[in-house]
Amino acid sequence: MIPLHDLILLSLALFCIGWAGILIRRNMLILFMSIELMLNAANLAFVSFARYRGMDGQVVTLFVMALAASEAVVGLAILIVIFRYRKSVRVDDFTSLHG
Amino acid sequence: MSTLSFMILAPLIVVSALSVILWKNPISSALSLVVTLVSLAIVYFMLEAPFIGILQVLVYAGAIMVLFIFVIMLINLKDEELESVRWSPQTILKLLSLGLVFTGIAFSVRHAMRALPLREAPILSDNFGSIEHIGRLLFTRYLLPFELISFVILAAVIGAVLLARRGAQS
Repeated sequence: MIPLHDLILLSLALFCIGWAGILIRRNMLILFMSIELMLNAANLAFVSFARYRGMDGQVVTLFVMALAASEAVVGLAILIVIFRYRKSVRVDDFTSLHG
Repeated sequence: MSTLSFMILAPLIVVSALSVILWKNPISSALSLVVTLVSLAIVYFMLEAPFIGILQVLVYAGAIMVLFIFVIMLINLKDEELESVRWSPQTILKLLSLGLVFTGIAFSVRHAMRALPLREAPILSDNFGSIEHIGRLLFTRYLLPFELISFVILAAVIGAVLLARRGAQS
């Protein structure tokens, strides 16, 4: 049996890696992948607590997966539309709402 | 047995996640992300969540990652447009503060785990994590969130179609 402590530490590490990706990269595709990493870290924590406290965590994980899928779809659609106009995926180039 | 495979899987997950954010080429990042997601699915199987593990492979490693790879190929960035991490003092400062956050939370997790009465994993019934068990919960206690999620997905579908169509017109 995997100790709960190790699972939570792994989840924390995954979350921090995703966070670091958002901080240090400027490519919008990588930013979306970092968000997926952070959502997966949350999923891992939910499933590991579900092992100890009953099924509810697994059901929440299902909801998180559905949200992640819709987030990826809309985000990538926006990315493609922006790319058509700007020919770039660098988030620093997207300043038309800057005022 | 499961502890041993976790000792192999956990470093694999961390290393592949790190390579997701460090590769210069988005395709390499996407493939590393697939490795992370599949290893996580194996961890879910070890945690008595077979249905979640299957969904992880189907939805994440299957659908979402294929979507990512399609978009990467549609955009088709040239080599000179790609850039990796720029190691400025600012970046290092960001990572240092993030490391501080990580160690802080790791220590508080350690303390919290001592206080929690979760030392030993409970013996589970046979249908724990089965489709039947999850389905029963989805249609009783979680009925309202379940229905609301369908609205979210509907909104996402309409949003994606609208964005794609408006782009095609102009």
